[in-house]
Amino acid sequence: MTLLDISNLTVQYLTGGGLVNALDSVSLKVSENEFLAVVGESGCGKTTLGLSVIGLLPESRRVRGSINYKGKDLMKLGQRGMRDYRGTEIAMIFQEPLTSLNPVYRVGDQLAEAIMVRRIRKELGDKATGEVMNKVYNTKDINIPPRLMRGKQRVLSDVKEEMVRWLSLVRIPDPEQVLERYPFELSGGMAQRIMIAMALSQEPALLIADEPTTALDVTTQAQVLKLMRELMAKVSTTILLITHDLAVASQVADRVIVMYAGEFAEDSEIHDLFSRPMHPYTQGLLNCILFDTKDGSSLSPIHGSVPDMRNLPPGCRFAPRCLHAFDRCQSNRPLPVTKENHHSVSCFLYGK
Amino acid sequence: MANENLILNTVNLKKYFKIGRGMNPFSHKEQRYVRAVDGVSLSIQEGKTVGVVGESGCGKTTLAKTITLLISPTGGEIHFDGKRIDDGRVNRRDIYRNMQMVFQDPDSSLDPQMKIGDSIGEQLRGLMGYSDAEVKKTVRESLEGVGMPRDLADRLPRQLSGGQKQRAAIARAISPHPKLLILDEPTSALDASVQAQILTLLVDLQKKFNLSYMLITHNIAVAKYLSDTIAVMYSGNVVEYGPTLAVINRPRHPYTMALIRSAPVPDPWKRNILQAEIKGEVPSAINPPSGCRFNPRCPYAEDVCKTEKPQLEETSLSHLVACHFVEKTAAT
Amino acid sequence: MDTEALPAKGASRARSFLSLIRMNKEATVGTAIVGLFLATAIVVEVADIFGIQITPYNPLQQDTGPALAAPSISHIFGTDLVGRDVFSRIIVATPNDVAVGITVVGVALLIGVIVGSLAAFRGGLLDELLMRFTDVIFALPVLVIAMVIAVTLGPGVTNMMVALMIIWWPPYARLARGEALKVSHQNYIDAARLSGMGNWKIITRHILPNISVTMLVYATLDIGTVILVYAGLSYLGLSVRPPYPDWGEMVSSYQDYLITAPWVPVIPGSIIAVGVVGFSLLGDGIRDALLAR
Repeated sequence: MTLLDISNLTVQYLTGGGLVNALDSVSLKVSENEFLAVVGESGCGKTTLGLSVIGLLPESRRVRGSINYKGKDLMKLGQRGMRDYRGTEIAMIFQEPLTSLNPVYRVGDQLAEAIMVRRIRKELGDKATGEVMNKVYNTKDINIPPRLMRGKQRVLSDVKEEMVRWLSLVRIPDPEQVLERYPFELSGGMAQRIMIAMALSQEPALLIADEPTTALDVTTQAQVLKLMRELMAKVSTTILLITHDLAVASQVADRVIVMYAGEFAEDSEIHDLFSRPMHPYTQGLLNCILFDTKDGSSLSPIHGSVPDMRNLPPGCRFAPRCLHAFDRCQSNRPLPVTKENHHSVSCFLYGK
Repeated sequence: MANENLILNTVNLKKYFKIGRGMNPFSHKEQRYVRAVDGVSLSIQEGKTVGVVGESGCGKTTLAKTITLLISPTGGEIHFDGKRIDDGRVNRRDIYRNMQMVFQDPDSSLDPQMKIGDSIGEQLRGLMGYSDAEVKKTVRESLEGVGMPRDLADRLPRQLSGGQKQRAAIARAISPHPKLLILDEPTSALDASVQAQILTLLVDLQKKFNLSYMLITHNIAVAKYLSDTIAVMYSGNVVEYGPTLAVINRPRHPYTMALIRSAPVPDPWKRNILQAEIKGEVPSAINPPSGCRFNPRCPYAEDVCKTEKPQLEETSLSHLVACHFVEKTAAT
Repeated sequence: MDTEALPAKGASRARSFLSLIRMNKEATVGTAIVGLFLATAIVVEVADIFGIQITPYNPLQQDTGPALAAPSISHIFGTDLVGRDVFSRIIVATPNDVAVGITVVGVALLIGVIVGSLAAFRGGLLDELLMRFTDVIFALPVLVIAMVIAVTLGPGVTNMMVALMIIWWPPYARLARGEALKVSHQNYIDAARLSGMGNWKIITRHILPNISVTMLVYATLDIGTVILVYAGLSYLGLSVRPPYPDWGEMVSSYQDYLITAPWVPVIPGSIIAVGVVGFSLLGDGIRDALLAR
C-alpha cells in the first residue's frame, strides 16, 4: 500500500542572492513497512525533502508539486492542518539529539508530554486540530498537573509505566532513573534513543530520520541503527532515513533513492543498487567507497565538484562530471525511466 | 619493532588536565585530573602511516596536540627525528619545519580575514624566512601541488568549499616540506566524493615527498585505506597495535573487535551492524574504571581485569594487544 | 555545507556596505541622521576656531525676541525664558553630545579590547585578575562617579567625558574576552603556533581582526546609549552650565515651562531622542551589513 506519494516536488529558497533551487521535480513513492534511505551529498536536497514532507520548511520557501499522504495532499494544508499530522502520523528526528530535547525540562516531562498528546488525540478523534496541547495542560479537563513530574506532583502511574516500557524498548538501562534526568546529563546515544522513543510513542505511520547517527560514535551508531531496524517491525512504522553515508544505507535500508544537486538520480532496491548501479553518479559514489588499503585498491574519485545551486548547468546536472555524457545531456534534463524490478533512473543512457 | 628510521617515537606519553577545585588554597578537596592520555607509546617509521583509531573521548586529539607541543606533556618522552623534544628547551621553529598538522574542521583551519595565499604563506614566512617574492612563488606552487588553481591564493576562505579549504590547509602544512604530517580527522567533515579526492591526494603526496603520516580518525575504512599500522585507542591508552590488515582482519582486543564489527560495511549482503552488540558507554576520563578501563563493557572480563591494568604485549609478529585474556579472543 | 561555490570576484567592502545600507530603509534613515549630526558638530567646531557665528542668532544673547515665543519664521524653534534663540542654542550644543558619544565609546573600545584579549589569550592568573578588576569597575555607579568628578574637577563636557570613560569599558572587556576566547579555540590559531608565531603576533594578526566585527557593531549601537547617559548628567547640572547651551541642561532649565511653552523643553529632549535613535539605526544597519557576509 502506498503511504506517501510525492509528485514533481519543486522547492526553492529565496535568499539574498536570488532563488536557490533546492529540489527540482522530485517524485517518489513510499510504501507501508518499508525502510527507505535517501542518499546524497551536501546540497542534494535530501534534508529539504524531509522537511517538505513534515511541513517544516522555512518561511522563505516557494513550493510546487504535491505530497500525498494516505490520499491527502499535504501541500494544500496550511500550518493548522499540518498540525494534525506532524508529530503524530508523521514524526521526525534530527541530527543533533542533545539540542532536540528541551534543556530545562526533565526527560520524563518531555516523554510524558508526548504520550499525553497521543492519548488525547485518540480521545478527541477527528476533532483534534491544535486543541490538543491545550488539553494536555488544562487541569480542568484531564486532571493532569501542568508540570507532569515536578516535585510532589507525580504523573499518572500508567503514563509512567508506559514511559518505562518505551525506554526499555529503546534499550535504555535503568529507565526509571533516566526519567528523572535532565538532557545535559545524557550522552548523545542515549538522547537519540530517547528521541526515537518519543517519536515512536506517537505510533506514527512514517518516521523521518535526518542524519540521526552522524553526530554519534561508531559503536553508538551501530546500536541506534540496529534499534531502528528492529523497531520498524515491532511498531509497524515506515522509516525514511536521510543520510550521506551509503555504507549506513546498505546496512539497514530496503530501498535507496540517490539524489544529486536537487534532482532525483536513481531509485532502487538496495541489493540491486550495489550489483547493478545505473546512474553514473551512483557508480561514481560506489567507486569512492573505501574497501581496501591504499596498496590493495585504487580509489577513483569523481572528477570535479558539486555545482553551485544558484548557477546550475542546463541539461543534466551531473553532465559536467559524467564520463558517459554526450551532447543531449548538456542541453536536456533527463526524466525518470523505470527498468525491471522497480529500478528507476534519470539518465539518457537508459532512454527518454 | 625495528628501531631504525623512526621519525617519531613516544614513550609512555601522558597528558593530564587539572580540574579546578576552587580558589581556596587550603581546600581539602583532592586535586582531580582528566587523564586524557595515560601512557601512550607508539612509533612511526619514515615514509609510513600510523593510523590512531578511536571514538570520542579516547584521547586521540589530545595525543596529536601533545606530540606537536601545542599542549605540553605531563609525563613521558617524545622523540622526533632523533632528538628528544619534550623537555621544554627545544627550538619550536626547528621542530615545526619538519612537523606540521592538518586539522579536522576545514572551516576553522583558515583565518576568515586572511586571503588563502597569506594563510598558506604563514608557515613559510615564520619557519623558512622566505622573502615576499619567494613566498608568493612557493604558495602558488603549493596550490598546484594540491590540485587547485593558482589564483585561489587571492580568495577568502568563505569563497571556498569545504574540500577546497581542506586542500588549502594541506598546502599550508606541506609547504615547508616537513617530514611528518599529523592529520586529525582530515576528511570527517567532507562528503564521500570529496573525501575520496583528498585521500588520493594524501597518498600521492606521501609517495612524492616520502612523508610520514600520523592519521587520527574514528573511521575504520579511512584508517584501513591510508595506514600501514594501526593503533586503537580507548580511554587514554593504546589497547591494540599492529599492521593494518592484522588489526582489521584479526583483531584481538575485545574493544577493537566491537569497533570493527560496528563499522558499517558498504555491502548489503553483509549486514554486520545488525549483529553488533556492545553495551555501556565510554567511561569518564576523570574517574575511569580501575584495572582495565574496558572491563565494565567487556564480554570476557574476569576479576583480574578489575584490578590489574593490562600492558601491551606481543601476540604475533609486531601485533600487540593489552588484554589479560588474549587467548579467549583468538578463539573467536 | 560543502557546495563548491564558484568563487565570486568580491566587490570592495565599501561598495557592498553602502549598497546594503541603501537597501535597508532603517539604516538609511540612521545614516542620514548621524550624518546630519556629525556634519553639524564639525561645522560648529570649525566655525568656533575661526570665531565665525553660523547660527542665525548669538546663542548666548538674550532678548533676541520676546521671551518664550512660539516657533516662527524668525525663530525656528522659538525662544527661551530670557529671549535666547532656541535653534541657535541647539545647533551650538551639538558637538558636546556627539563628541562625548564617540570619544567615550572609542576609548572604552580600546581599553576593553586590550584588557579582554589579553585576559582571554593568556588565561590563568592574569585572566582572573583582569576580570575581577573589570567587575569592580563595572560595579561603580555612573552617577556617583560623575558627581565626584564634578565636585573635585569641576563640571563641564570634558570632565563628564572623563567620568564616563572611567566606567564605560567593562562590557567591552567582557565582550572582547568572550570573542577572543572563541577565536583562540579555532584551528587557525594552532596553525599559527605551528608556524613559530609568538603570542603577541598571534593576538595582533589573528585575534584582533577577528573580533573587530562584533566589537564594532556593539560600539556603534552603544554610542546612542552614551549620548543618553551624558544628556542625563547634563540635565543634572554636572556638565555645561548656563548661559552656555547643552541639550540635557536645556531640558532641565526649561522644564518648568512644559505646560506654558512646551516647545522649549520638548525640542531639546526630542533632539536627544533623535540622535540616540539615529545612532541605533546606524548600528543596526552596520550589524546587518557586516553579518550578512
